Amino acid sequence: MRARSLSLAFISIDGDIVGKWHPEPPPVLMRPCIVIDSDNNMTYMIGYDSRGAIVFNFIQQSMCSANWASPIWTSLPYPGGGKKYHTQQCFLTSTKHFAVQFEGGIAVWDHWARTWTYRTIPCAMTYPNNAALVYQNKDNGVDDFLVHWQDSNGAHLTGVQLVNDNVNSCKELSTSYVY
Amino acid sequence: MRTDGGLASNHSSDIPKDMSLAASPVDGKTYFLFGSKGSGWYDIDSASAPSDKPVDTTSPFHTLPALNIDVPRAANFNGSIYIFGKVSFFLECHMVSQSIAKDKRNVHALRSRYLYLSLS
Repeated sequence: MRARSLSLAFISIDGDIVGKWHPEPPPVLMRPCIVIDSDNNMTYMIGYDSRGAIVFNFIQQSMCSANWASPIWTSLPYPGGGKKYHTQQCFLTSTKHFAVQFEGGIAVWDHWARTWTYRTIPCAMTYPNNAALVYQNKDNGVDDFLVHWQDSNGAHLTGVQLVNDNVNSCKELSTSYVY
Repeated sequence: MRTDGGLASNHSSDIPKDMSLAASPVDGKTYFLFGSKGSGWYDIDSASAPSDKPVDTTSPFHTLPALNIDVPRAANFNGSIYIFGKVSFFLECHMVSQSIAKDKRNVHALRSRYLYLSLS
């Protein structure tokens, strides 16, 4: 099944995936993460350039449209503070702000205020890890996400809650569920 | 149930190690882990209001087949989770269907879609 040498062969079984492949537009970043804010018609992208410098861009577009192949990305101030960033772990908060993980917390970009805010997560975890949003409530500004990390004892899950972009709580889950 | 020989309240015997990806349909009820050594999900309970306990697991780990792909990435779309990754010179796409996300009884129903794209 890997024998096809076509430059683009496309299989859709139930019509779940339709449309053709669009090449990734420049700039090509390493360890990238992209976030789309469809409410504000914005797309953010963070990563590292070929020289290893952190890069943070946005484009006023939230769909693949005619000019997606040659978009003009605008560079934004990158997060600083001498922190070590894990750019692949980013998400859009319920307040519609871009958030990216650093070692010990998250940095939040308020695009309209043009500010980075750094929030410490007071729970032990290792880096890099895998984080995923599990719940958002726009009405009260709640974001719950889980961090999957591991140390010499094995794998762990830690839940983190933001309220209006502030870290309200974090707690490691007990996974010794008795059944 | 495996115990890893420990009695600690936070022992993590049933969480797969070396997962390369985590994803959730953001319904606050399910949390997926994917990796080349195994995949699966937890049922979870997420706080919908400010709380000292953001998330809790409410089930043991349910297994799904391993995904043997490199640099996997997840995208949520219309209630499904799509996982893209590289296999040799091809881009591969797996889909965790909406029925899996909503009704997880069929643990072997992880369906795959393959996008064959030459990366050379």
